[in-house]
Amino acid sequence: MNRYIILLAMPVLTVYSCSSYTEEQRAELERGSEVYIAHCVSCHGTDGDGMSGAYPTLLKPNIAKVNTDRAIKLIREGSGFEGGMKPIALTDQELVEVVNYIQNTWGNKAEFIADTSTQ
Amino acid sequence: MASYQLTVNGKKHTVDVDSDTPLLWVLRDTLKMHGTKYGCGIAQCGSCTVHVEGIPIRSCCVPIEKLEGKNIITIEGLSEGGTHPVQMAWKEIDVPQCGYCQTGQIMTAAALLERKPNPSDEEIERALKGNICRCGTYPRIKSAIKEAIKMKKS
Repeated sequence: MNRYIILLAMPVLTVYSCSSYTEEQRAELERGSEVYIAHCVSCHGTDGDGMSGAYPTLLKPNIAKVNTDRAIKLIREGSGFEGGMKPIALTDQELVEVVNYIQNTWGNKAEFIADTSTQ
Repeated sequence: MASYQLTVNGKKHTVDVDSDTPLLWVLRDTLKMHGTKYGCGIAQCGSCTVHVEGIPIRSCCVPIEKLEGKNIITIEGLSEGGTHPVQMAWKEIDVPQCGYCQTGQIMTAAALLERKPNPSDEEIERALKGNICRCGTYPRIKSAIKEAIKMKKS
């Protein structure tokens, strides 16, 4: 029964935003989904929509470089607020993968990033 | 207070709690299921991990109102009598030291093997990275997961 539940749940986490990703991009998103499961899904949910008043939604209609930079900074340093998001100890590679996953899932669309340098 | 319906380990429960009550409190205080542990309370250590619709979730930070009608599996319901391959491997390798984090480790490992039946060393390390063990049983945890993979294959 547990296996059945998991098989039902997985498509929720693999709703990539575009059907024309390259093999390499799909592999990147797959790795990113694993990072998301390990560190993000508890608060932001399988649908990325968070919870109003507690956990911000990750769904964004237009993603600009400034949004990507802010996401990287938030994950690295946390929000800085008491009770807010704490820093997440990810490697640079994991950080790139999870940002690419978040920004290319649930309807989000953005250029894939290759490193974590911010402006 | 409001009424919420949950399915925990295949059994339906109706609980009357505040909407922002974390699942961990409902499991431990309302349903008296004490296998899931309180560690940090801010989703940073992984000791409270349970499965929600098959995904490993930190139950300390998920409000009950997000879980209405969801299927939840705790360590008590992972198998009958501790016979899940991960649990068997944990006993075989004698993983725990103090044991406090181990239910979370087991739940995360079991979910990983459902998603990826044959994970690489790196995939194991990355999936379990959010589960902290103060005793440092990480080498035995990894060995047990590899043992569980063998058990599942056989």
